[in-house]
Amino acid sequence: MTSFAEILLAVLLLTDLSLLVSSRLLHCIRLVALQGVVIGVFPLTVWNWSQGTPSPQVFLIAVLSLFAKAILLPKMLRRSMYKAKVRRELEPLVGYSKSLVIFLAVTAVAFCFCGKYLVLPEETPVLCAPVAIITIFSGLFVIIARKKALTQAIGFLVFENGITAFGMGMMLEYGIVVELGILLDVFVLVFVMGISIFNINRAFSNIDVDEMHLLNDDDAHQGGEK
Amino acid sequence: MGLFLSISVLLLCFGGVGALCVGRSEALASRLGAVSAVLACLSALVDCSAILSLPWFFRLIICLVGIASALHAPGYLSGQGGRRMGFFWLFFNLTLASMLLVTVCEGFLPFLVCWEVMGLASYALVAFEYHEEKARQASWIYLMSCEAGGILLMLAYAMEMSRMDAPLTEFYLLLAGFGIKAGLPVLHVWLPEAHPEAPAPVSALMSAAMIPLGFYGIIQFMPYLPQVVMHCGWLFLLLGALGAFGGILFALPQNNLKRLLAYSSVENMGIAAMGLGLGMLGECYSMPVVSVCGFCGGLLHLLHHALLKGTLFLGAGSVLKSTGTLKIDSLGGLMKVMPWTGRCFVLAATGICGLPPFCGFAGELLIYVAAFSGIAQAKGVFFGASMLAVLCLALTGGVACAALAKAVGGAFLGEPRSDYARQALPEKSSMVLPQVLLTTLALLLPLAYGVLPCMEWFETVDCGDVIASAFQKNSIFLLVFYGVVGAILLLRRRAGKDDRAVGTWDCGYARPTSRMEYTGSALVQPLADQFGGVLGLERQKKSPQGLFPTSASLVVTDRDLGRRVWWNPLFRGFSALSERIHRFQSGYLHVYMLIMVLALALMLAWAFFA
Repeated sequence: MTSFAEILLAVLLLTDLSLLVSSRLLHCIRLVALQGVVIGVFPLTVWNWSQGTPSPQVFLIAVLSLFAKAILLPKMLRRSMYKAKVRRELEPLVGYSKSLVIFLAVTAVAFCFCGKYLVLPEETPVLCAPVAIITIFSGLFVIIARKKALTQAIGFLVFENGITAFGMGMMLEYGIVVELGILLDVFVLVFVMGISIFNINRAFSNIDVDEMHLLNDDDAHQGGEK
Repeated sequence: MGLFLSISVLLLCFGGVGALCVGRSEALASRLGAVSAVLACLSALVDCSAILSLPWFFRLIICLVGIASALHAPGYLSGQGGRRMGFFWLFFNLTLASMLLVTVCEGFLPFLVCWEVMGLASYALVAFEYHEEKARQASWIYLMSCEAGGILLMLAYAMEMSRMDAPLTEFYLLLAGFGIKAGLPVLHVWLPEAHPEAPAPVSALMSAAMIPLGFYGIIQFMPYLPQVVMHCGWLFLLLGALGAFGGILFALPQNNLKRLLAYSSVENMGIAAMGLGLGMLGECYSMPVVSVCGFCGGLLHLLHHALLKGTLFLGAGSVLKSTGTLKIDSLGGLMKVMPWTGRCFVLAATGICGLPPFCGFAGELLIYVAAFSGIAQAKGVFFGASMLAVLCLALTGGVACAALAKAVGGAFLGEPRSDYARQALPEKSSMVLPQVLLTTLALLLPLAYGVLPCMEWFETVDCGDVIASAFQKNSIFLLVFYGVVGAILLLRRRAGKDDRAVGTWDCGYARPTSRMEYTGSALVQPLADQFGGVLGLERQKKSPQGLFPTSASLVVTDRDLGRRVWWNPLFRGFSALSERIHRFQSGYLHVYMLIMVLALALMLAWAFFA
């Protein structure tokens, strides 16, 4: 089944790439949902089926991931997108072509690094470590380089997917417990963001996180005077 | 912790919270707070579980001053309203309780907690008059120095815990941390700011009982290695000499009565530090006489300073309450309106100058003995140090007389200089009582030294009989002195000559007015001429001109040397640095995330490759 896991990882990599260069939010949310499906199926494909059926924990994490990441969270994101009436991420802080270049550079570095320095257990797919690192990076990059609060929520989800892919691929001993914890965190985060995005939108008439710098200490006075 | 101490801390807590809870009634709140504080102090005094130990000694100081301050406060704060009174007593009792607890804690961590509570609670007290800009500024400076000290102490604790074997660094951290509280020179910046602005009972408590706790901290928690003790001794001696002489020099030009007293506290802490430093050096160079006399002298000086400075600050508070101002140039002639406050103030001022028969002399005498025996026995560097100590003590004593003479003369003698002084209200008996209490103690204490059995302790060292006889002679002289003064007073009363209303002695002038008197600035003019450059005194002199001069004036103002040379540049540097760092606080979420990611990536890389 290793080859199937490799295919899934390749899909993950491609969705990362697509996420970084697309400006349509709906498309981004769909990509994240797709990633959720991939991540949900991933632990089952990594499992060495010749040893027998995997433990119930693995099934649990697969079902939970599928439910939360592929259905629930994208749905919430979509709802807040419609509520806030934003469709596109215009004027990102780092342009799409530049994002592409950076992404390619990071991909190269990640593959080189993992090939040279990272010593992994035998049974893990070769692609696992570099793709997980790239996914983590993509999530962080989206958080840093995009303006809309919604995109940042997407960034957190992608980031989480990267961590999951890493943990699952390594078949870490406590991976599942940690995984459930992080999943809960991200769930709460997206939930809160969904609510706050709506409220921020109502108060500021847009959800550009960029504009929130007016709320820092320095400019509080000026903001008040305005 | 003994039973009585526990009772005392509990009483303080209940009293403070109770005073806060009674709400509107001012009389009830102040009565509750004061009674609980006094009872708690008495209960802590009764506690003799560790009698004659170092913590007990500091508890004694705290309790004596605490009782006096608590008795003085209701009168001083009257007219503030119940709610503010409640807040005052809550924080006052909290401060007292944490001070008592500081002397109880044995581990460093609980000590640090109590220490921080003490700093924060007393910050609230300093900021009690928060509706005034000056008080806010002063309390801010106080808070900053408290927290700076706290951070240094925490660093020292971290070093201790992480078993870094660097006792010297740890000692320097402790010295700086406690030195800020103890008002060692250069670190004393908060004293002249916070004391004038705090309510008088608070400044009395802080100056008399809280500052010495800095010394307690150093003595209790410094690592006792020969090398460290040597460093500590030298630093104490040099810093003490600097603080004693510098402090009193700065006290001289002050126009604010409480500011003058605050600088005098710097001076006295300097003297105590000199004593302790000589004690430690004596221990290092194995000279028992120097060691015993130095330690005892330093500690006794702390006790005497507590009694006397407590009286002085409470007296200054009474003056402020009755006239509404603390400016020496606006006071004058208060001896007639507030005779008992005046008497206590004069006696305490005489004592704090270290004039022979009175209380402050005994401690200084021991330090002198230590220094002189150092001169007699030692060679080389220590000889020089002892010389320095003697010279500094003598010089300091002289200038202290001038400074306190200025304070007493300006405030209590002569003619009223302004309407503030002319319309002064008569003193309240409730505010006089604590001052009389402290002064009486200060007058009787040196008598007791002559007969105390613990004097035998000195005889374990070979100079014990010298000290004991010096003290005995002093107390005999004091007895005779008190007898003569008492007899004269009695005779005068018999003769019925007590109630005469006469004008102030006028040196032959027919009708003296306040314009003929020396002003504070005029008194310090010689000093300003000599030390003006060093002290940064500014003289604005308008000499009389022509045959019939119409006006002439002299104003001497000062700026604190430590603040000017060291603290202001330091804080300016810090603020410039913060401005630079502030650029990172752009308010853009993206930038924060970027910084965090970069930091994480760097840490990962470091962990991976190192």
